Amino acid sequence: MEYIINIKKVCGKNIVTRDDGKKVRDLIELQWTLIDKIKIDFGNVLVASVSFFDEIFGRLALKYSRSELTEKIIMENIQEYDRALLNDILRSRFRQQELKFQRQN
Amino acid sequence: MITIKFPAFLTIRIANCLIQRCEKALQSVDKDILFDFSACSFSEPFAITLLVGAMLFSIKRGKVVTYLRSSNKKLEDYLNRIGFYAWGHGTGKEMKSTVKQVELRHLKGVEPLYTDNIITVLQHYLTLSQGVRGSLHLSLNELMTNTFDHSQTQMGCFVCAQAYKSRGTINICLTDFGRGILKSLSTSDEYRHLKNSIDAIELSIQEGVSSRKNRLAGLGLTHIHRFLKINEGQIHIISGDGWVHWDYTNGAIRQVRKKKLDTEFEGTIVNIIAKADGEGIYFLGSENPEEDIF
Repeated sequence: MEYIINIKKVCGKNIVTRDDGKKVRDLIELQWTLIDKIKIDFGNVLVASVSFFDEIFGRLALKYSRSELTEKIIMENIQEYDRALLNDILRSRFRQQELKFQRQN
Repeated sequence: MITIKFPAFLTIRIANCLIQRCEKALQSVDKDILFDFSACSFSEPFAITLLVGAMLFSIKRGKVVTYLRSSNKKLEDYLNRIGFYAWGHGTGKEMKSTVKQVELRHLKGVEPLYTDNIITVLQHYLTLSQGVRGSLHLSLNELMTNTFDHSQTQMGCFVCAQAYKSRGTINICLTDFGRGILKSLSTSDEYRHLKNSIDAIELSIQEGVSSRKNRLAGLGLTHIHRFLKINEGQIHIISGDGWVHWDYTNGAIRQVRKKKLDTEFEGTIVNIIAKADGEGIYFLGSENPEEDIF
């Protein structure tokens, strides 16, 4: 089963702050165990906000593994600039987890 | 004697007013100048570098400078600690720095140890990869080199850094009393078309923009600017009669504020405000050759 989050519908023009991002993350987390795939449709809107992406995906990356994240989430109609920004944020968060893990051991 | 009285809060927000007062001192025909700090109660690195620089520059111009200390004990203690009254010569033999503060220094050449101390402060609050540390080190050194190479000042530059736990920021300020960015860039044929300071400042943050000929240059401001963009920080550049403020505190949505100063400032001020979030990890794209996640 697939669940679609349409960023334009959910957030409108509010795609900048951490609070805006939290709204989307809450939806994802609500569906996480219930649904196989969560499709996030950006509708080709340029987000370009570190805060917004980090609040959604950065936080998820601290909770779930890379494979869990990529198996569950499908990105649709995301601008290339946003994709690069998102990948940067995720790499930072995964590296943060790695470092935390290394320090603990 | 001319008395220049300074307000309570010596912050970048009132840069226009502070520069006006410093220029009043520098342009004064009176031989004696009294810098009155008695009403001051708070100061940021910006004002510390500017005021000490203005006092020393006035002396260099043959003035007799005296000052009235602040009546606020907390500020007095702070100014003593950061080396304000040592006028940038340092408060001891060793360069004094903690994880919160790097004392004011009057630099007349690139001082890698000073840059190390600034990186130590940044590193205390932010997780920086080796590459980012190296890149920031190079950029800060380049910024200092700029003040010696481009500004053609005998005065050197004034630098200090302070971390603010309550604000969650790290503030680094470099001030020189040279010829400014517009005059400096205009010496190069490529940038001779520039007519105002604001355009020159905006151009100065672009990669490879420099007045240096046949040398690799123009990376200092570009790298620092790029770092602050990711860090959600801010940078103010004041030079001549221009003031440009890049503000990334609201995510990557850039806010650029431009202002023409009432009084032209003889030199350049680079005021960096990094966000000390403690959460982010900063590394260079080149350090991370992994494939994309999405």
